[in-house]
Amino acid sequence: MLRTHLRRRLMVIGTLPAVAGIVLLVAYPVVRTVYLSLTSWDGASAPKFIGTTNFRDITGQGGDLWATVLRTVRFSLVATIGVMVIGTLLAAALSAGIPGARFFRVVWFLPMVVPVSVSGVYWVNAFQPTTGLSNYLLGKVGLGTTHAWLADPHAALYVTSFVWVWISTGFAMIIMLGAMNGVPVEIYEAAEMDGCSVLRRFFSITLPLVRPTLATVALLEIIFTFNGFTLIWAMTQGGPGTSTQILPVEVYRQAFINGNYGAASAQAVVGGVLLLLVSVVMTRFIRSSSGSGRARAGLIRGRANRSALAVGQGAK
Amino acid sequence: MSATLSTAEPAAVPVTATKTRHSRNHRRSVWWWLGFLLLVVWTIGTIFPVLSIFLLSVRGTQDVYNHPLGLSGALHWGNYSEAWNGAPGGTAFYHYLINSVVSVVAALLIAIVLGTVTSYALVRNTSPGKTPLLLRVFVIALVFPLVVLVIPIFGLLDQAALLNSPAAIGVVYGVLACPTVVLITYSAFLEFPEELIDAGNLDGLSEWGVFVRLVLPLNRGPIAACLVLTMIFVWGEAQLGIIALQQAQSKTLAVGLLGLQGQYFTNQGVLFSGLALATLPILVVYLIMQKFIVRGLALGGALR
Repeated sequence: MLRTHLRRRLMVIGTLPAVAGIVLLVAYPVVRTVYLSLTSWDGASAPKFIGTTNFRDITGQGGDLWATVLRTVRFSLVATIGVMVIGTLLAAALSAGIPGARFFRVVWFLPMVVPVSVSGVYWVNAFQPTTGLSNYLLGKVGLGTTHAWLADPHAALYVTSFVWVWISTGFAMIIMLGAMNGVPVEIYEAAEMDGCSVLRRFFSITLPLVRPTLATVALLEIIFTFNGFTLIWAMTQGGPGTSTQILPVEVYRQAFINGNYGAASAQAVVGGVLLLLVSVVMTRFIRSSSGSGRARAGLIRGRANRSALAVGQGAK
Repeated sequence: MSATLSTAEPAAVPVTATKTRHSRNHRRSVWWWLGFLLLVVWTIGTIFPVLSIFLLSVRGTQDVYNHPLGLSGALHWGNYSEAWNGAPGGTAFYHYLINSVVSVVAALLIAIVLGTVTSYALVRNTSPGKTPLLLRVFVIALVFPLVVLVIPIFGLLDQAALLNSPAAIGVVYGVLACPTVVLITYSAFLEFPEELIDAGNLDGLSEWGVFVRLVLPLNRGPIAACLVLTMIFVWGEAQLGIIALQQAQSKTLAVGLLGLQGQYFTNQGVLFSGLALATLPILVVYLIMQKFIVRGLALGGALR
C-alpha cells in the first residue's frame, strides 16, 4: 500500500517537463514583458530602465494607444457578435438533427481548418475592385463593380471582421453543439407537452442552459480577436493608414519594424491587462450562472466549459 | 434569423441526447424551408471559397480576373510546378512545405508527449473531486495572449541561436499547446476505470507501463482530437513565425504566404496554386480525422 503511494508520488516527476516549459515560455515572458515595458530598449544593447515613461508616451499626445485600443475593441466586438450569433444558430440547427447534419457540420468547420494566411490572401483577392469575387457578384445584380472596400479606411475594419466571422464561426459552432447536445432530452419533451413553441423552447430552454458555454466561447473569441495578428497582417498589414491597426499589429510594428521594444512591451502590457480584466469579469459571470441549481445541466456545462477553454488554445 | 431558429427547433424534440435528434414532426412549414435555405446559403458561403482556391489554382491570370468564381477558363497545371519551384528570385515552395512539416512534427511530439504524461501524473495523484492546482495554473496560462509573450520569446530564441529554425518554433508552439492537451486528456483520463489500472498493476505493469499499454491506447479518441487541433493550430500560425523565421528558406507555409502576394503579383494563378498547396495537406488530415474533433470535443471532450 505504501509502496503504491510512493510510486504515485514519484509520478509528480512526470509533470516537471511541462511545468518547466510553461515557466520558460509563458511565465518568464509575461514577467519579462512587464519589465521591458519600463525600459528603453532597441533590441541590441542592454535595456535601460526609464520607469513609466513608455506608458506616458503612448497615452500622451502623439501616442496612439487609445485609438489602437478602441479599434481593437471594435474589431473584437463586431467579430465576436457575428461569430456568436451565427455559430449558435448553426449549432441549434445541427442539434435539432436537420437532414444532412453530418455533412453540414464537416463543411461549416472547414474555414477553421484553412490556414489563416491562406484565407486572408484569398479574401483580399475576393474584395478587389473590378476583378474580385465580391464585385463580380455585385456587378451581376447591378450594384457596381468598383467598390474598393479594403482601400476604404471606414470599411476595411468591417471587411476584416467579416472574414474573421467566416473563419471562426465553425469553432464556436462545434463547442456550442457539444453544450446543446448535453441538454437533457426530457426537458424538451416536457416543454413540448406543455405546448411550448419552437421559438419559446430555444429562448427559454436551450439558451439559458447553454449560457455558461456561450459566455466561455464569447470570452475565447474576444481573446482570439485581440490577438488576431495573422489575419490582419495577411489582409491589410494594418492599413489603409492605421484603420485596421489592432493591438498585436501595432506591437509588431513598434518592436520588430521600428525597433522600439520598450514602447511595444508597454502596449502589450496594456492589452494583456485589459484582456485579463475582461476574463475575470466574464469568468465571474460564467461561475455565477452555472451555480443555479440545475444539477444535471450544471454538470454538463462545467465540463463543456473546460473543454471549450481547452480547445481555445487552438486559435491562439 | 428567426427562420433559422424554426429550422432548429421542430426537431429539438429529440430521440436521444447523444445521437442526432431526429424530427418526430414531419410537417415542415414554410419557415422551416426558409431557415433551411439560409443554412444552405451559409454552406455555399463556407465551402465555395475553399473550392475556388483550388479552381483558381489552375487558371491563367486573365481568367482569374475575368471569372473570379474559377469556373471557366483553360487549365494551367504548370502553375503548380511554378509555385513548387518558386518564381525566379523567389523562394521555392517546397522549402515552406518541409519547414511546416518539421515544425508541426516537433510541436506534436512535444504537446502530445508532455501533455498526456502530465495529465496522467495529475490524475493519479489527485484525490477524487479535487481540481489539481497545476490544472488551474494551466488554465491561467491559456489566458495570456501571444502578444504579451512574443518579444521575450523572440529574445530567448535569439539567445539560443534558434532564430530561423522551424523545429524550434515547433517546440515553442508545442509547449504553448501543452495546457490544451492537458485539459482535454485530463477529463478523459479521469473517467478511465481504476479497476483496469489495478488489473494492470497486478499483472506486473508499472504505473508508466499501465499508462503506455492501457491508458494511451484506450484513449485514442481524445488524443486524436488533441493531435488534429494542435496540427491545425501550428500549420496556420504565423505570429511567432513571422518574427523568428527571417531567412526566406526557413519560413513555414503560413509565414511564407504572407510574403507571397507581392512575389507572384503578376501571376494570379500561381498565387492560388501556392494557397492550394498550403491548404491541401491540412485539409486531407481534417477530412480523415474530422470525426475525432466532433466526437472528441463536442461530445466526448465536452461530456465525458
